[in-house]
Amino acid sequence: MLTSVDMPLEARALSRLRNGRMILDQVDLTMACGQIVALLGANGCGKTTLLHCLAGCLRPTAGQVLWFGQSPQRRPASHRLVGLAAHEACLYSELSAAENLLFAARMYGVDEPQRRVEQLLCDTQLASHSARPAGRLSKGMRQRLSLARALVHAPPIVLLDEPFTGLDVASREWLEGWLDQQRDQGRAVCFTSHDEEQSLRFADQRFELCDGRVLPLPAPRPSPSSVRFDTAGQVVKARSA
Amino acid sequence: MRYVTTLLPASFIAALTSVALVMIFLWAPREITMGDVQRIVYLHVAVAWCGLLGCVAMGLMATMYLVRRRPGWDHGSQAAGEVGWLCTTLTLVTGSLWAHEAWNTWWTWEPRLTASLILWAVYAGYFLVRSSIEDPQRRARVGAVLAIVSMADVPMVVMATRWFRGMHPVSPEMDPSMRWTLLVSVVAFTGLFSWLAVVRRKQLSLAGRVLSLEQQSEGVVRWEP
Amino acid sequence: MTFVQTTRTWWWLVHKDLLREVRAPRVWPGMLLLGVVLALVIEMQVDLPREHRTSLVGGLFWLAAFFAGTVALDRSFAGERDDGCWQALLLYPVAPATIFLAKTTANFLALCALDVVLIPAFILFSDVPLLASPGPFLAIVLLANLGFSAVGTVVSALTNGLQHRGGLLVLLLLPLISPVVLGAAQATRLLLLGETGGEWWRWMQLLAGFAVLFVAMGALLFEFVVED
Repeated sequence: MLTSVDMPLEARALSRLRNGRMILDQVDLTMACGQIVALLGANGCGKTTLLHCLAGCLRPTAGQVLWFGQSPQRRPASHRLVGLAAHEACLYSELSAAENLLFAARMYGVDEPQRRVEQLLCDTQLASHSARPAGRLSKGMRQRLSLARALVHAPPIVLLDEPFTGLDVASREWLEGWLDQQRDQGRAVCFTSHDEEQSLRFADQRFELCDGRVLPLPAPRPSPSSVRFDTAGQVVKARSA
Repeated sequence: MRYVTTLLPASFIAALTSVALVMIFLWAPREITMGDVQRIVYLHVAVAWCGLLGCVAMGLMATMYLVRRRPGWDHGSQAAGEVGWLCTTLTLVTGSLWAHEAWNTWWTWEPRLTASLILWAVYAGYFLVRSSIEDPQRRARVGAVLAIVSMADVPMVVMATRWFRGMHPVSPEMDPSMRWTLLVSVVAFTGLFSWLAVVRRKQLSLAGRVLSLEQQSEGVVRWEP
Repeated sequence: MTFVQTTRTWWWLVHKDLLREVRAPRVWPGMLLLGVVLALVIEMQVDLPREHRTSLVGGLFWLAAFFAGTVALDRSFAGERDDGCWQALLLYPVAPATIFLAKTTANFLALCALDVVLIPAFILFSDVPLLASPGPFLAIVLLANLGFSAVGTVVSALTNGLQHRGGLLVLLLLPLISPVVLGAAQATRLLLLGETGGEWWRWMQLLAGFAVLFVAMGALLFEFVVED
């Protein structure tokens, strides 16, 4: 049986109040390694708020978020376990694609940051645009750069806020392949969307956020094989389903 | 129970304040150079002390809020700030009345007066920021940080007359009866303003509960940890 | 995080802010121009004999410096929010105190750049030798800028995202930095009058004390400032 320490991400009775309104109300959620979770819901239902609480950006009014059994509150070092690609690309417009990634790599204390940046730029097909200022990249390129920034420190937990919004067909296909790749590498991935069809294609678990509550939706596919991570985010053991 | 927790302390403070007023206006002797105008000093020192105490209490309760996150500490901090601001305003007013007689001017830019005016402006900024934030949790947190930073001004007000040359009197020679009057006045008004702050805190807590009930009836849930 | 790692992180944060400003100047030009215009407008109104001007120029200089400096402080965090990067910054495994110190350093450097322009402007317009005693004056400038940037960084972060942010920033900031303004103005006045005795040292102690206090307070409180 998986304990809290095995679970990369767990939300327990998570509540978030804002201006007297309960945006999240006693949300319980768990994610396993090597799993893609889709969080669906209408615009303004609180998906972004939930994602930001899971990422440690927002402090819950009540309840807890646990990363491998530990609370991220007031422990900045534990932020190495999570990578967030928010709705806004979170890129400095004046810095080039490579400089944005290099800055993120240095903040996360990545070893050999230059090499890591070059590898990520290749993986996201941005190598030829590495010197271009982020403000001059197309929407799809900024999205890919944002994903690269979320992965620069190879976190075991990846959270994506509406990653498919505004992408053309080619970019969408690239992103779907990329998500499959993250799952195969044993990461726990959660993305938000208001497109149910899309989630049916490759999510392992689906939830709908409605009136502050999370309701499970029918799983479109069986649970995949998974790897286990220790609390430092390193792979310790692989096992098949 | 209500007699013990509310009426008894209120009665005691009312009695003490009455004694202080009698001592100020009837018992304390008339000062030789300034005459009856000098009696303002007994009020001025008392409210000045309360103004500083209010700022410190505001900051300390704000610290407790950041540690414990209970709304009661935020309400206490706000109440202390409101009473402190009132006292600082009274300090400036009573000080001006005394200064007009003693220095022939309503105002002068000497260190302690300047520092007191700055304290007043700090309080004003604190309430201005609080009033511009709708979300109660954010308002409490931002207010708490500001209250703690505002405490830095208190040493400047207290030490202004010792650090810098100025006209403001520092521990002048006083008749023993005048000293007693001053002491009783400070104690009485500290009690009065502390009681005001406690009542105000209760008011704020009740207002929070009323808002919560209103929101519940509208189908919006308010969190009350 | 070790001290070396923290220092490196601090440096990369400062480097990022400076690089952004160099690539797309958004803050410094407005701040420098406002400073020069303030110096010009102030000096136009002061029509006094030179010996009287000497005792006034110190206060007028710092008034112009602090008002123009609020431009830098106002944009300090607005720039992060404009690009949506504020949240990303808080997600890095970096202590909030380190972010505070980095932002304070960037603001401190901006204020120093402002002084580099303002000092010659005031010397030119007022004909008062501000740099007659360069060492002590530099000490005043560095301490004043440190105190101002520390408390300004905290207040800027607090008011960021609020309605009427710019107006609130100035309203909040000026009373809070008044010990620094007072200390800097009085120390400069005494320096220009050649009185660097006991009273000058007391003002310098006040200035240094508040600068250190504001830096310490900012570092301790910043995690509550950035919390959401």
